[in-house]
Amino acid sequence: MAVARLKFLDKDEENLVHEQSLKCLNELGVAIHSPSVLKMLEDNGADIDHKKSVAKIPEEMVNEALKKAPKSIRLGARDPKRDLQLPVETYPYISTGGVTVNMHDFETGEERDATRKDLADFAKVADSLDPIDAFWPIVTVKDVPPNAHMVHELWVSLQNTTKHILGSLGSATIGVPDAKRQIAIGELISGSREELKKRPPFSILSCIIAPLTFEKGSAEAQVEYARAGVPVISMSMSLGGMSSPVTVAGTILNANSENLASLVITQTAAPGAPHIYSAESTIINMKTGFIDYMAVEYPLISSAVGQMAMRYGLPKMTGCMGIDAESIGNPTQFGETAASVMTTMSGTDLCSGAGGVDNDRSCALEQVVVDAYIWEDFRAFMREFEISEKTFAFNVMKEVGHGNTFLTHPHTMKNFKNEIFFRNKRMELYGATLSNKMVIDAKAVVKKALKEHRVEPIDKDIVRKGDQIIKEYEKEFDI
Amino acid sequence: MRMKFLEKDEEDLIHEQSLKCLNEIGVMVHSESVLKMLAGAGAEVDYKKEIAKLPESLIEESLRKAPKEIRYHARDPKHNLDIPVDNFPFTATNGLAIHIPDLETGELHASTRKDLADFTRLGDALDQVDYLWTSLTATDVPEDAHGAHEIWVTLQNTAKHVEGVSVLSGIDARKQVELASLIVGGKDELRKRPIISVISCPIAPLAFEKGSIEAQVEFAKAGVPIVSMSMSLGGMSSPVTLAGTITNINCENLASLVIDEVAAPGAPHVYTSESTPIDMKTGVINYSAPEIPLIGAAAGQMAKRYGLPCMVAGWGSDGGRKAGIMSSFSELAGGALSVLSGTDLAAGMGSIDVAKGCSYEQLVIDAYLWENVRAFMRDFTISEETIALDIVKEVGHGNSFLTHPHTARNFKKELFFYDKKKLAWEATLSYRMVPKAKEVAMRLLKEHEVEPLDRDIIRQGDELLKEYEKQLAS
Repeated sequence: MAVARLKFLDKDEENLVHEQSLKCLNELGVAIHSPSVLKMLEDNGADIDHKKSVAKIPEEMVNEALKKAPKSIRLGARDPKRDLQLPVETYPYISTGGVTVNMHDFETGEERDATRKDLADFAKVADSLDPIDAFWPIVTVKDVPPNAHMVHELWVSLQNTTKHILGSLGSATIGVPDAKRQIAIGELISGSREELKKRPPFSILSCIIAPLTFEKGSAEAQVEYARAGVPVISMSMSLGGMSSPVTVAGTILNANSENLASLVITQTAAPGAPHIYSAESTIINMKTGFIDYMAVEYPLISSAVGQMAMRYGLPKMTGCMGIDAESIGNPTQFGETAASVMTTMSGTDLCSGAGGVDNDRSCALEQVVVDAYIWEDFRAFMREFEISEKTFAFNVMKEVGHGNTFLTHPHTMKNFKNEIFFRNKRMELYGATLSNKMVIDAKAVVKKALKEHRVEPIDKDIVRKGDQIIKEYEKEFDI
Repeated sequence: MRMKFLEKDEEDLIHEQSLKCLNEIGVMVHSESVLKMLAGAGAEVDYKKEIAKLPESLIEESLRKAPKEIRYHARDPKHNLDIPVDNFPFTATNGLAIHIPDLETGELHASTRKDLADFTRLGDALDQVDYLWTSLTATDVPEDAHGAHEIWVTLQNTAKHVEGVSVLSGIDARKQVELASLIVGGKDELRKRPIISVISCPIAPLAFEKGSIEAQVEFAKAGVPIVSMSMSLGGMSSPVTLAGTITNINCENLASLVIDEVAAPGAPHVYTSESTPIDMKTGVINYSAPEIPLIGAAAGQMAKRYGLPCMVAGWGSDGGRKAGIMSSFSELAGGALSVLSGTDLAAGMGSIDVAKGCSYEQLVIDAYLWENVRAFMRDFTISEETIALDIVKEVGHGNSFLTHPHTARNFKKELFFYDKKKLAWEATLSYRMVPKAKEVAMRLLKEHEVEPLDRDIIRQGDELLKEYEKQLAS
């Protein structure tokens, strides 16, 4: 099948990136601030400097991990019809953005802290929107003990959407206990550990500290998740000029090396553990020092890491979909919008970002709708097409003849709906850049969803058990 | 960065299917002289039906003879264009529009030689425009001579390469060649330094009109690059399936290439397509169809496979009856994705009203938009040096590159910085940038001067045209 993809590296550049990554992991290694994870790697062939907390990973370990890693995985959902199968054949799945600091109040527009009820609303709206495939708890909830917020967010999300949940690693200080509770909740939903492994209702985003560093809590939690069968999404946030070299090549290399290292960790902990290669790497804005998701280089880097992941046969998350600008709507210029949206064409299987505002510092219900509708149009570029004797329609060409028209031939009538995409004219205003003209419509969509949309509730018994797990967690750790 | 659509075996399939098509269905050529020429080269010709069936060997031979690298020359050599490109394509204006709004009053009127002169001069002034199509029809001259007039006016008002869009007849082609030869100092010079190229469209599916194909042969013999534009409109002049449309584009290009290489072995030839599915509601060409970048990418892949220079994308934000960016984000994104197809050339800047009009403001808008879009196609070195592992070692795990001299030394080379002023124009579904565009256009038209041709040459050209008109009248 033919599908549009953006390509940046040619074949020998891919090879070079791979070789240099091996060199990097072997000679420089990665810093892992966890004695237990270091030991695990040492027992499996890594060269550890315990004093510096650095693990040098030899080529054999990388190859071993690549061999063991599953090439296709399933992200489960409470509603099995909404399960996501990776890799995709056409356009990627998208999710909301995640764990912003605060949100825009729907009525007043003011920025404020979010509560569990707010998160529930976001989940419900995301649940109602077709173009959204998964839900990353979009905002940090503040009406809970801070160290338990991740578990609360997972739990609230699971109750208010039947789509797959992207979870986040818990607090850096109590990584493993937090992971254990999130896994317990997952098992509650799935019914058993075995079922969770088959169709994990949530996956976990595990960010690496570029360059090449794994924090204690995250590394240990990652191991825990791998063993439980929860897919680990090893997101490299290499920021050119800040946490990776300013060269595009250097940033690609760093993202690739970090992903390979993370893969080695999950596959060593649990051979065959589902693992998603991921990067949301770009350059920093050289004037402000802030991460720049509108940079021209962002889609280039995304395409490159997408190619590397494809080379390895790994499921991947190497793109993002969300305007995420300084105000609600689309205040960005065309080129800037294009830069971030084109990352969805990197061959990625999954993208996050819908609903975020101001570089994912905040979020808004209307923005989830805006991003979803922009996506619905844009993803049409990535439909798949059959290129075969059947679609060449040789006989039809013969029948129509030189210089004549196909318009009246039945072949056209029979096939045009399959081949041609029809944009929804009503949604055209969502395609305005440097504009917020679509926000009014988006607000109406949100209101309707909150009022009318119904999410299948979880069994009361299970809700009680989940609440209990969290209560005990908070007590045990005096959170 | 490039967009890819077809898998390798799908490319193979299209090539095989094209050979089959050209061999079994063939092309219709409404010119006895060209049919004879093809018969002489080994084609199977049916003179009654006017069909030439092309054997694989003839196609392979033509592909061998076609030059892989060509140069669009310009009056001023600093504007020479070397094709194929390594990064972003060269861009040109819209072509052969029939009306234009007056820059002062906004009133739409049928275009004249003066309009063509002014519009061309604006294109010459804008850095982002690399070469000029004969952008407007001269409706104030005898119709038969319009192509010759347009090439003459355009050549006088720009020092950049000129691509003519009129292929009316063999005689007309010879006139255009004569005019261009006047400027470079003779026909032999023109062959060495073609300062003109020409767009020549087959009639899809698979047919060549008498006037255009005989003109094309004349141009090819004169060494003028042929830009053989297939306009396969899915559902109308090609099957509605993308596979069918891509195959038609490929067949027409291969057939056109054969004609050129038989007429003049080694003739410079550009694989070209401006193909879209039709708007299924109106039957009109649909310049905002989401399928366009996919078709373009496929055509680009086929051209690259053959090693041919190509033009498989357009550039411009033509949204309607007046200037502005009336496309939505995804429609304009389709345009941006099209130029990522590996195309070497892209034309269309300044067009309005589905290419029926030209607008000064639109030309400025399209030029400014282009500056940012082409940035996605800069080329980057991926090497041990730029991967910079030694710098990574120096910085160390979890630390920052910000203060390392490597960053300060390299960021300007590596990164693209938006011109914030131009960026502010990029509002889709909006007219807000038009007043500023008008200011820029007015200023440039007032200040910009194009090196005039030698008075003598102008006189000779004008006389040539006068005689030609007389010839046509009788």
